[in-house]
Amino acid sequence: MYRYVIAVLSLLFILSVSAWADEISFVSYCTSCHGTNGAGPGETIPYISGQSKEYLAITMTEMRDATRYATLMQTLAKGYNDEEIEALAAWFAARQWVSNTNKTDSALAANGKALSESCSSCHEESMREVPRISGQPSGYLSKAMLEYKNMLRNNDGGAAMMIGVVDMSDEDIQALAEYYSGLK
Amino acid sequence: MNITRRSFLKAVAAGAVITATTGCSNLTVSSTKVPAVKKIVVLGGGFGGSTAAKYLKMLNPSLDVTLIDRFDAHTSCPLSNEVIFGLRDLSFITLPHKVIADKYGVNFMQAEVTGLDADKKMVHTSEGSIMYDKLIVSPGIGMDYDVENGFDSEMQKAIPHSWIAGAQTIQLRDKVQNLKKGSTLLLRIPKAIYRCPPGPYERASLMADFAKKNDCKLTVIDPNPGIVSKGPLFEAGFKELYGDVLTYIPSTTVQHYDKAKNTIVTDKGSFTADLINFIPDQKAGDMAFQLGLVPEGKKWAPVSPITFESDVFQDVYVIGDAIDPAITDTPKSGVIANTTAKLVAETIVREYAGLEPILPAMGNSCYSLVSPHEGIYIATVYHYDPAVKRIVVKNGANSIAKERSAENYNNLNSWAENILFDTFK
Repeated sequence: MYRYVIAVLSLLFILSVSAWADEISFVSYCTSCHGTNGAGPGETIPYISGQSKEYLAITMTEMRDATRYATLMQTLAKGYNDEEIEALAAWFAARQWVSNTNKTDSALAANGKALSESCSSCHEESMREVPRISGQPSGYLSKAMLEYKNMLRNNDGGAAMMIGVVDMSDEDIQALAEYYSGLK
Repeated sequence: MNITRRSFLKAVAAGAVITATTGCSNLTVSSTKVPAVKKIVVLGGGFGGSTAAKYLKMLNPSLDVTLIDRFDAHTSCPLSNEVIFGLRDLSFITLPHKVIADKYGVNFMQAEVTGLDADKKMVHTSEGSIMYDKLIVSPGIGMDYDVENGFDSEMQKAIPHSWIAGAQTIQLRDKVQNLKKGSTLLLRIPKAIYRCPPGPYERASLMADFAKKNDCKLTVIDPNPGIVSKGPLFEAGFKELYGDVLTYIPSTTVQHYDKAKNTIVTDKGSFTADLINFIPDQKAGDMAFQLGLVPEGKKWAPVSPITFESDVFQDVYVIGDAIDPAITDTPKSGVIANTTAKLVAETIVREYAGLEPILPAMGNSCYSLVSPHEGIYIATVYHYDPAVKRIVVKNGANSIAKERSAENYNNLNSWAENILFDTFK
């Protein structure tokens, strides 16, 4: 009985270690900026663990091709071919989502909620190419929306859908960011 | 992911041993010879060592991991330029080792390393000797004083380099704070290859910003033929922001330091100032030499470009700034130390699980300030290229920012929080 337990435990243990061990080298550089487990305290760097696999792959590809506005990610994405991007996206998508733990400004978030109806219809459940936004740091969410508003991101996959933010005030954008950031 | 039947069975065999010894100490397994839990000792709790200790425990919690450092906290060089010029609090860059000890079950030992017996696999310290199965050494840098030039560690006491963060960071910060208006400043850049290629130019920029605000003048003497990293971006800052207070003189070789006159004599003339920041040329940290990891006549520790195992001793790995640049194009940076540490942690865990090492993949994202609220960056992806047996840039993924900006500054702050978190928390 004892030997059986040991065998099963070691099986589970090695499966988990091997799963890590075969892929961490690849992703270990990403976590230096995106944080251990794909989430870190920095406000403007998105959480990537547990994000939609399709979205992560599309985003890396768009940054590599410079169809999506980005700063250093446009350079870093060039380091990976299609197969590697698929592997990176799959690895992070398979991890547990980690929400931010910042204190939410409830008044601001309430304003955001009032504006959120058209956003939720797509973003409520991240559907393939549509990224999860709930629990992302508010700094990143407002940064992304401002990039769409200021027409920096007018060429990527989300541009057509995100056209609605062009007419929003910066304050409304902050409110929306605060609302979605506070949804764990 | 797919695991082949062969590697799976090998892995199970190795795993059975590891699990059997850690989980069930009350039960005897008399018919099986069970080796002791694997002991990994990490020397140096900076960006390399702390990441290694944390990630070893994350990958395999059953490992016995001990981190040894002479201080109870690491002071981060990245961001220390901001602290020197009053832009950020010292507490932000003070990273107690206790945090990863408590969170991940790393044994932290505050001690001075005094020697290594690689045959017996034993490290000697001021707090006793400790055995290891694997040893990871992250010594950082040491100063390569050319004593004939009349500049040595004694001189450094009055003219801190502040290129190893900690007491000298505070010392330089205090010197800057106490400067009178209308003073003169002098910064000496080290000769490449050194820790953090853009770092001295970030210091020059912030020093120039200080000079501008305090009616001071700054001279920067540089032994290199030009700005070593992010050149066009720093150059633009020097011209556009600091043209009236900063004089930058490249290709300047220090010949002699006259202590009595507090004057640096060079082939481009003699220089003195109210505040001199002399950053010497560099080599591997003292511990690397002390432990015999640097062969006679060399300045850096030679290692395998695949496993980072020392060329000198088996089961001893060297990571971070101390490694020989001959095997890699990566700069000496905190991010490279962090990503290399993860690689070595994985290599060791894979070995114990009966798996081959993975060929290195890593990268460097590095932000610098050009002024208190404008940032720049360099971003590079690296990998091991078997054709040249070195770590090189991957797919040409290497560039610097288009321009200095507030956006880069905001990202600099997030990057700083995240890299410090990933390494020390």
